[in-house]
Amino acid sequence: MSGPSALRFVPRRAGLSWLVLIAATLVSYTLGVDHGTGSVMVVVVLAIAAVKIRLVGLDFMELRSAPTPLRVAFEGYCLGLWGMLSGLYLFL
Amino acid sequence: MTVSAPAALAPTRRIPGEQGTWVFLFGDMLVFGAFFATFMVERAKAPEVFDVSRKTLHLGVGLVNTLVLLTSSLLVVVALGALRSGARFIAARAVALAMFCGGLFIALKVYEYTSLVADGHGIGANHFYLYYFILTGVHLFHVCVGVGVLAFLLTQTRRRELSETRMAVVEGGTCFWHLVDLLWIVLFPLLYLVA
Amino acid sequence: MDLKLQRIAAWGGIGMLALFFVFFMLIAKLIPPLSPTTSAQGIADFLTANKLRVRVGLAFSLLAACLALPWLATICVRVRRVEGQWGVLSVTQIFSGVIFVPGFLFPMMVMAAAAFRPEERDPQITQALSDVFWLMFIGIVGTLVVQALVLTTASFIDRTEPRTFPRWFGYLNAWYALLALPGGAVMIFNDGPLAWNGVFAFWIPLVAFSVWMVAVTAVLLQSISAEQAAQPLTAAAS
Repeated sequence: MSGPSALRFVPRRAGLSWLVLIAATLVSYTLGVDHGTGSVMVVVVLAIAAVKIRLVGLDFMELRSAPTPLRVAFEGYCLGLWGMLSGLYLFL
Repeated sequence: MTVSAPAALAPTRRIPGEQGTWVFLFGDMLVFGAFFATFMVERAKAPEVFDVSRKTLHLGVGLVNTLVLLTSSLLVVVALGALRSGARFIAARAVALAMFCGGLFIALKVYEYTSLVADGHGIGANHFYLYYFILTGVHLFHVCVGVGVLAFLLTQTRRRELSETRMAVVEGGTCFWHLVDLLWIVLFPLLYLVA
Repeated sequence: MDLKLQRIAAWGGIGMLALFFVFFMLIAKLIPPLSPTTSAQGIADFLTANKLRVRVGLAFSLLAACLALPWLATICVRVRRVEGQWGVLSVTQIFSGVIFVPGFLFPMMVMAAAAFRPEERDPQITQALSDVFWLMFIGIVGTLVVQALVLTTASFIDRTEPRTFPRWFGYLNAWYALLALPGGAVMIFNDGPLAWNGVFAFWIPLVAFSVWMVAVTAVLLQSISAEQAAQPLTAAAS
């Protein structure tokens, strides 16, 4: 089994991000299940999703070390997606 | 004990993959953004129907699928790091495991689909299910393509040396897998949790 | 001389797109599409009320589509350049080109028939003709997907000097192929996002198609210029 020796190849950031992603998923799930309806909760759940995809992009796709325009475009996407979906949810 | 990837101390900024990779990835992200928005607009036309239908979904399976994809992405990160350091055996194992995760996702999705249809919640049942099946269906297609891309990455782990262009294609392939993960991270709350 | 002709021909795609925008969309009013759930009477009424516009728009669109012929020929010739001879990629591209223009012409002829004398006809017949138009027009999407994937492959295997297709073009074609694919679903759905007036099966593929046509033209022109610049300054026999 490739076990512990494989961990050598996980950049610390990526490993930490993964833990945060797992935790955030469980938090969203709990929020969604227990607090069903309610505008604030939905906006929060969408925000958590936006933060999660940001981490995937920055630490898994390695955008943290990408040229600034690319990174800015990606972060803009995360923010824009959250804003658009929250806006559509709240105002339609 | 984890260490940073080799040569990560050089602060030069580089595009993951190549330019064209991001033409594709951003293109896909934008189109899915349009898909997500369309879902929200449709939802606003019949929020009660959407909410009632949403609750018939298998929340637990959706959660497991999210965790499975997140883990597969980590495995792909391991594979890339190993490949860059020449640890081809570990890279191959990690890619194979990621492919297994992809297969698991597909199997769970098939289970979800058949179970929903059996309960009378097929694609034509109402607008929620229509969008549910279409959105997750298009995503599932991406997962299948992604598994194909991982299979290609597996063949690349057998090469003793990868040229710069080939390495860029490999990196692009890993980014595509992360995209598949990313899209599901949005789809899961959108379909299963938004009340 | 050959490259000069290629340059001119390369503009055919944009020409077609621009004329279609005017004649097919603005004049014939065929975009946005009538819903697949529109009643026979509804379609007959639309065509009767717009009889002249639709027929004029279609007549010019039928001619405009043919501008794509030299454009497609240029694409085939340049894919051949990548392969070094007529090979699988370039021949498949020829096949795609052969179907591309008739893929526009034949459905439009059917719609022209529908709009020819709708006031004299049973609306059911008009509806049937209209359905045939849309299903043919969009259903052909598989050939566009294959055409794009050939270009993706050509872009990645390109070793010509100067390059024929930049690598990013390969990725663009892969994106376009992926987006065009849902068009095939129009056979199955009478309404919703996968119907012939739906977001996923019509509008997004339409946007992707337009972007693709512009991108192809830009890439063709750029690589033809590069090839012309790299030619020896003495007049070259073709």
